Amino acid sequence: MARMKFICDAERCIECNGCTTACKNEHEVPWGVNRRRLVTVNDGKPGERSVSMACMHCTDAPCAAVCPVNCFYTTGDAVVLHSKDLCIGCGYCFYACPFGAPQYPRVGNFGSRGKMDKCTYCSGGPEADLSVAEYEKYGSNRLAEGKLPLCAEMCSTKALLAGDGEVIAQIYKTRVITRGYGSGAWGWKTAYRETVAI
Amino acid sequence: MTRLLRIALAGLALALAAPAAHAQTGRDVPPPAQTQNPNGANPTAGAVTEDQLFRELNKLQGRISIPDGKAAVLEQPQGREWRAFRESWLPWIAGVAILGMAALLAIFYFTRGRIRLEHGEQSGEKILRFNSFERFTHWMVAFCFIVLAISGLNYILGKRLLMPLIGPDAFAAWSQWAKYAHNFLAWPFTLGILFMALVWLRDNIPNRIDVQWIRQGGGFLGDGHPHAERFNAGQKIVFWTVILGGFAMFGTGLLLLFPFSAADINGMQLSQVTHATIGVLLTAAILAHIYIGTLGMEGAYDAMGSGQVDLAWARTHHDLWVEKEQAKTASGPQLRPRATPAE
Amino acid sequence: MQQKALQDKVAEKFPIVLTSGRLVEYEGGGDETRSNPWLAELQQENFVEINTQDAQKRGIKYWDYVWVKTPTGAEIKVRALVTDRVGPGTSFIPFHFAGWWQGRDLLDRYPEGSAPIVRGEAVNTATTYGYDSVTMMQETKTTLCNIERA
Repeated sequence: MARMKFICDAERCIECNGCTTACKNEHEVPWGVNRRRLVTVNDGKPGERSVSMACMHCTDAPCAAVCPVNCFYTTGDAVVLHSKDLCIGCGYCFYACPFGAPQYPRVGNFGSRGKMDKCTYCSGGPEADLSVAEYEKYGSNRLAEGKLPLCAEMCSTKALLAGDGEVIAQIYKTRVITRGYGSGAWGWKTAYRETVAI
Repeated sequence: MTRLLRIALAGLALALAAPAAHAQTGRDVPPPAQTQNPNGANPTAGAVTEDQLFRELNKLQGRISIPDGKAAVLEQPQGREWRAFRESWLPWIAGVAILGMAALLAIFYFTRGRIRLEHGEQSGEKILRFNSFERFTHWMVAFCFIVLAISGLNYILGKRLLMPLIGPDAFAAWSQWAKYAHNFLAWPFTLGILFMALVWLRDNIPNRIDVQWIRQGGGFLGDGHPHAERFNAGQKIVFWTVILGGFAMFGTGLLLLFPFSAADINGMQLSQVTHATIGVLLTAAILAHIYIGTLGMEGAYDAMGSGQVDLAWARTHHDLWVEKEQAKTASGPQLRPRATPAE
Repeated sequence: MQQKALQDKVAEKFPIVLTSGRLVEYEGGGDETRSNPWLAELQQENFVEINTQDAQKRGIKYWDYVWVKTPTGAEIKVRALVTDRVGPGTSFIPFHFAGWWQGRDLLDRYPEGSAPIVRGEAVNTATTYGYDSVTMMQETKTTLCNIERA
């Protein structure tokens, strides 16, 4: 089994928001819910870098640990998914997540902030693969069709890579060696407790 | 052991709201020597790396075009410390506080036993101790508190104790309702706390009589009955615990009800830690209050039940208050079935 | 013309160069792309990029509303994106926005159902009416301006 990961090569990211738009369109994600987002650090200064961030599908995911109803599970491809039937919208996963991945349809917690929504690595949820119920709750299931997440597939500069951790780490490593520089595999240390050694 | 130490340090750091150091396990190898860039510029000269930013800042923050301030935080490793507190410390704090209190009360019950009415504490005459508004306020807060405490503990212990028994689906449905109850009953609870503060504050200001009461062990340990006004020092402690604890719960709870309205991610984590910790301690304290008001002392329940207590009981436990009440005229605010001669 | 501009001290009254340009999310006048929710969400308001130094001098903070005033007498109300992306004395406004006129949202003027999700002040109302005498192209890309807190 592959160990699925994301890597964002900040040297290539041009902040075009193609990944976020692809994600929104593919899964019909409503306004205000941002499964993937683009953050620019050091804006306007030398060394400005943009990083596309979504759920990193952590090893030992903090969201899963703190969930009071244990609605998270990890698939055989090491993708962290959750059940919207169990989620009570308490917001704890957002406090624990180092990457700000969990999203809620409503802002307040008064009454209900709604079921949490996050990046599914384009692989749906606990419902039957490619079922209507799965699409309505979690969006499409590209992984079940043998395809990788659309954000990475659509990335115009191939800054965002998705796939087996070892394969994409090798691609990134080759790039860094070829061009001679790289700002690191953003989020890897926090998510996977490892980094891409060059 | 080192793991425990690290968690302890993490919890401490959170408690102090200090920007805790990001736990780093690996090290990035520095980029290799610069290759020639076509335009002569060195793209790495000013480039930032994640490592470098974490060394300078406790979290990575940038700019984002969507109007969502919290989305601009790229990475916040403090989530791991919050997790360590919530998953490693909090269940223990909750368990020890609540079971510890229950054990203490059980020990007290079996050694000291129920504090019985003494001879001559049943005169048949009644004196009004709490009027209907006071009782209404007390029971509104009490009801809300019990629901809030149970639904609050459900966040911490539910998945450990209840979920294995009833299964994930039933537990999720129950937790959803518990969350609604928690969010909505917070308001009558706070209102009740406010009423309590208004009506009972005057009688709960500590004074010299309290020092004496505490010195004599409140009558729990010996057989004597130290002097007490309307509320003895023990009751005053309960009052201040409830008032201060209640308002602290309201303040931190408000931040959690309206997430990110006034606090950033670290502020939210801190409010949750404070809310949960004060919550479990308050629950333990109230257990003692419930015990002494019902099982622990005969005759005490009437004060909040019917509102009327036996005059002789009142004379034993709140002698100075009875004197003051009776010094008032019979047509005063306190109702009495028969005029009792002042002593 | 040149002389008159000098006499009127246009450069002193309007010390900031204003240029207009594109955003990656929108296309052209932006009506179609601003009607697409996936894109519109990413840029919800028109803004002016203003250098940190210029902003500090004017007491402008990030995402405050500001008035951008140009020598033609035009005034447009946009958000201030305080950034070092532009140098001191320079400012930038994307031109994909329309639907606001001098600080007022003209939502009620759109035929029902035709209003884009995102509307904003059009920078082309603030740039000049002239043209470049060499290339004979209209000059909609640049002018001088001053920026004030709204």
